[in-house]
Amino acid sequence: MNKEAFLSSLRHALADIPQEDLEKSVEFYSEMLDDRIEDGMTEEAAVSSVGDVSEIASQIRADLPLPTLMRMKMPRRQLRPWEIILLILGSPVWLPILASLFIILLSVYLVIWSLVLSLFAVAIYLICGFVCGIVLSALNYLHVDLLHAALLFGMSCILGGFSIILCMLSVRLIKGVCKLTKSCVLHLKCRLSRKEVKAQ
Amino acid sequence: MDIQLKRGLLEVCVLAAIRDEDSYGYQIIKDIKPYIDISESTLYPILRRLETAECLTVRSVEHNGRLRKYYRITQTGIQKLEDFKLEWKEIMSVYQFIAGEDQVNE
Repeated sequence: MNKEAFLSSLRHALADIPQEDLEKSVEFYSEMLDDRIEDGMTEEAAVSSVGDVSEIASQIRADLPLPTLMRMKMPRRQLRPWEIILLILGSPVWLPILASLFIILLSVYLVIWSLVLSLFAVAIYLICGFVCGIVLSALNYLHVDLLHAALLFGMSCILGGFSIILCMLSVRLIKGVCKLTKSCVLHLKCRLSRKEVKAQ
Repeated sequence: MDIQLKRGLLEVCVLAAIRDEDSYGYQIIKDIKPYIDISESTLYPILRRLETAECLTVRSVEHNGRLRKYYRITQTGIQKLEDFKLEWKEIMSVYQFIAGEDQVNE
């Protein structure tokens, strides 16, 4: 592939990104190729050493901020008049459905969080029980009520054990939910940018 | 090398490559390559990020009948390099801790 072919296929691969970003990218790679050729490389060698066009294009895309990616998707296709009319007429139907879908997803997400947090609250409650039990058993011990002191001490140890297990579990769960959220967002971003590539 | 770590290092390397005098894309790659692997497709986003962060400025200079972009470091960029040097001292002490721990475990 020569320089012209490389640049035009890069242009083609990036046809849908904002014009300014496209021009800058093409300028950059054009300069890179010229410098390599000036350095004694043949045109073909320069092009092949710069790398694969689709890889370069996807890297440039991946580096665009999310709002730009979203904006790129919007003006892809002009809506026909009857589509616009249909959209407006249908809005009492699809708007509430879309909104409720969104709310349902949000509430599912919140329910997951509240479950995890309530588990955490129980763990904290158990820790409080453990501390109180120890204090009470110490007081009983001071009043020479050995039997009660031993009973309270044993029970609070059990509480303590449970609270440690619950704490570990809930910390794990919190981390898990955070990870899930992150991967969902990442997945969404990937999908957005990948669709752009496929649309070529 | 870890991708995040490499990305951070590359940014600083690019700044170091233009610290003493203005330079252009291909020259920057040639200067950095002996130390860390870099290609056009990695350099391009880094230059743009640094430009957005106002760590460098760009100007076009005519060269052999075409335009070539020269990058010049700004005060912010110099500051970033200095910050990195200070940070690196901390990282080195952490490194010694890590390396020391490994020796104990062996």
